[in-house]
Amino acid sequence: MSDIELPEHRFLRNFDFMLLAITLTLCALGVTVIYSSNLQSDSEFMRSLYIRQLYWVGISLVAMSIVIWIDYRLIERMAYPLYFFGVGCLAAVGFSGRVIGGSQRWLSVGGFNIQSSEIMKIILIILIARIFDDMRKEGDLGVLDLAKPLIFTLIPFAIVARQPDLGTAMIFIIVFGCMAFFNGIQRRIIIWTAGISAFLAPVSWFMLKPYQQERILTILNPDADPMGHGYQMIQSKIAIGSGGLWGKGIFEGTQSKLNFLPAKHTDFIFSVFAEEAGFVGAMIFITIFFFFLMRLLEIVLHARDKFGSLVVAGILCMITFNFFYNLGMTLGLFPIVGIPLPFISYGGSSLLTNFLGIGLALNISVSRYKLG
Amino acid sequence: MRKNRQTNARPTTGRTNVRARIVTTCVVLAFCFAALAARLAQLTLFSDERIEEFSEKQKFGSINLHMPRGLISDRNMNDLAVSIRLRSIYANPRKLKNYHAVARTLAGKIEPKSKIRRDKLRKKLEKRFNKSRRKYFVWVKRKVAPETYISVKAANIPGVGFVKESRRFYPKRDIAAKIIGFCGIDNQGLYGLEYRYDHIIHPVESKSIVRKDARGRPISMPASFDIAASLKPYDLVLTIDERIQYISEKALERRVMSARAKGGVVIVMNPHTGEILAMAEQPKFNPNNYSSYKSGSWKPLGVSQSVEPGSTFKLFVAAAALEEKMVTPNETINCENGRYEVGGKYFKEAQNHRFNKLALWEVIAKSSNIGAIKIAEKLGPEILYKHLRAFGFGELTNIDLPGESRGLLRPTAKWSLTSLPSISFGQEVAVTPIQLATGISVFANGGYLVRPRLVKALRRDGKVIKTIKTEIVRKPLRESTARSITDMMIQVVRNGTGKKGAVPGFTVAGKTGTAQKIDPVTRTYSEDKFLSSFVGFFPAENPRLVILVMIDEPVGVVWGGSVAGPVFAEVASRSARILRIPGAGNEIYEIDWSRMLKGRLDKDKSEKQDYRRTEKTETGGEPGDLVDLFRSVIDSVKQFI
Repeated sequence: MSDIELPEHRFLRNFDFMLLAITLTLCALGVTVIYSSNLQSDSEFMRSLYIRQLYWVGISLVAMSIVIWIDYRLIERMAYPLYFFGVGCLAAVGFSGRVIGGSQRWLSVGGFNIQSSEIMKIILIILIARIFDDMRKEGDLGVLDLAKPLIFTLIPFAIVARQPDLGTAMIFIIVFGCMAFFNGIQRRIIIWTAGISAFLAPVSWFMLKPYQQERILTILNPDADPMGHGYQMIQSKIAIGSGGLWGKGIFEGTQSKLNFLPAKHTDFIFSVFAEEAGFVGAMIFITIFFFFLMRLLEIVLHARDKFGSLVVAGILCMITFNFFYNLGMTLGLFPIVGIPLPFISYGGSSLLTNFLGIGLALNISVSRYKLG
Repeated sequence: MRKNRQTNARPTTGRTNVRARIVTTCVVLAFCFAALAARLAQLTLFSDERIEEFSEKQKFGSINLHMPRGLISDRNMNDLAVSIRLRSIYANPRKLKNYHAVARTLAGKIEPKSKIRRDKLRKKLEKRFNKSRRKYFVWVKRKVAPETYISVKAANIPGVGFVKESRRFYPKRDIAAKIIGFCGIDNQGLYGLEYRYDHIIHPVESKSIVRKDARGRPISMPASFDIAASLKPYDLVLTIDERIQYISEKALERRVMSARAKGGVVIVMNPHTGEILAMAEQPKFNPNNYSSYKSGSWKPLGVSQSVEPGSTFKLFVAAAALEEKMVTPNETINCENGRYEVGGKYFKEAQNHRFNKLALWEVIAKSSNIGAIKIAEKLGPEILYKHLRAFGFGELTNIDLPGESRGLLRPTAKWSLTSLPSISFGQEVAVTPIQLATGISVFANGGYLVRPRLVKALRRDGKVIKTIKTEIVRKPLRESTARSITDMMIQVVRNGTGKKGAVPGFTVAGKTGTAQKIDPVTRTYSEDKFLSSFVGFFPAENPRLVILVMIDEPVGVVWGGSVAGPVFAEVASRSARILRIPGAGNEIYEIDWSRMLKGRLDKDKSEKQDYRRTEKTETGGEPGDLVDLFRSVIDSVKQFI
């Protein structure tokens, strides 16, 4: 642990305040929209959700601060123990986890329910980065090189997919793919993967559960069953569409508040926001997010070492995928899968995970100047 | 992605590779952002008609505020029409697991007694469920009895639910049914006052458009509630007096039965205000079960039926002549000894009487046809027509009951040579009972034509909001003329054809009428079908009530005085007791205590017994009827010879 303490002013000069500011802005926006979405709810609990979200913001900020101050090489060293701890938690959920909304995902810790699969994302990113870093290989990776990290990815994937939470499970695979791509892989692997995926797609259709099949069909024809499978999607489109150019004004949305929109404070929070902020507000939001992602990309580019670069690439991939998929889903482009909007949707585990990710990115961004 | 990789085909340093990948990532990200922005613009800036329609449909809905119709009560606040809360059963066919089983269970619960009706209902429900399998709502049965509701609810069938509805109920059943009318299944007024005042007693905004939330619960209640409060329906207070209505109906019913008549009408009216205190009719119907009666039997004949009035019409001819000062009450009229030719047609007196010279008042009292013709001839068609119109004949009285007929009084241009003489004794002219009663009121109230009416006041929350005022249409007569006619009418009851209309203790003014009906087959006046009537008012010195009695096609004795007169007397005497009308001058009306006591005891017994009792006393107790019968038999024998 040969930490070289830098002077305070050095840290402050190199700290990426912009990234933190954007993150906090997004959080504030999230709390506001959560407040708005449940403004007229019958239940006291639903109306106070934004306060719970504020608690989570607080917890996440503390966790983030800790992550910023730890030398990330320590984290690199701890990758394997962290991974096994994470998998242990995931397995534990299978036995003792709380059942919410028909699937077992939550682990109850001191009054707060933590979705261990969310935390697992970060751990997996760290582990994959460590494995790639350990290879110390110049040039692109071959099939055999990818076997080990793939196996480590498939273990949590299998557990989470069984919960069932296909959305999160998918992210494990995608994060793995993106990180491998950033590390550099042989071109033929990409081609083969694309080919096999194309071949497997029709086969995998029959492996999906009926409700999952319905969700995909709904994208193709949402009017088929407007009160059934297409309901959520149509309601989301109505809410967004009713916002118009300028929106109905903050706290003035009606579609979402009148319970037309299910999961309005979690997965479909963007619909609430778009209804109230309109096209202009939503575009501003998307632009801010774009800057946010660009900022992360910049850290990937300028990281001091390969491990740091890969970790931030993984985090970037995770947040980007969440963001795009969630927006695509609320806009009626993708099938409905439980994927929250990063920093905006209600949900402590997701918030904590994203903050940990940002903490890691900030840490790596500051550290690049440490040894010159 | 791949394209970028291809540009770096040769082995490069890691750094360059990372840069290339970052560029790839940037391109992918930019593409994704562009896609999201485009989709967002599509949804927010361009409207999708299908989505908007869907959205509107789910946002707005009408809710039923469940406001019952206003009450209808008589002038003394006795309820005549009330609303009761009942449940209706519906089903959600999508939630029914096995609609055959559900239909069987429901039919068993709704029709527990009759197997035939149960099977019929079961088949009907099965058909209905099968037809609307993809719907969310079908009625099972509207407005069921409370015990049915309880038993169906106890069965606890998934997919079967209940809604509260109000249903009109007429606690007095057929009493005043023709006036009040009835409502349909959705509480819309269909007949009578229920129809005429639907806009007042039906809560107009009972269904109001409101914004709904996703569960269909109405929001923005405060605004619509205010509207609802201000549009709360009124309660109708009728001019009808339930007690007088009742005695009129009973008296009429007994007479129609004993005379084996087709039907009849009794109208009791306040001549000064136009208030109808009773409008009784035969045949009648029970509005709680209106659909089991023929649709024709719902019509209020008192306003819709136009009939040739017969001799009662002579009063108006005489009044016109007096008003024009063409005759005086004591002027002698040559009655041509019972045979008079006008326009090639011979006119005779009723019952083949032969009058020679009669004073004007005697013409009325003895109901001389030829006397009436002579008076009409003095007036001439134009003046007679003018006066008859002034009495309101041939025009609507504008009584607040739907279905009023204007009767028939043809303009003089269309009169033939025999029209004037015919009209003078009430032929070739058709009037409704209400027109006649209103016309008679002119004599009773000193010369004013008032608008007859059935509604006294509108109330809301127990407070009178609006009192309906008396409307004077015009003044067709001087008071002195009205007085002269009244004097003649008194003579009708004292010495003339209307002796049976006399009421002990009161001076009664009346006039009989026995109109031949037109035989629909031969298109001529029938020899055995009559409309017997008695119109009059009392006390003659200070008229309080005008009473009209019409009996349609009595069998046997047909003379108005004999058939309708006793009904008039009965209604008048009992009304006088109810309304505490003081008797004439110093005459003290003896209260028949024994009869009153008997009546009270009989209250406990059923209607049928009551009917038998009166039947016996009337047929047995009044020998006058027999005399009339003999006379008519002798007359017909004479004619035959």
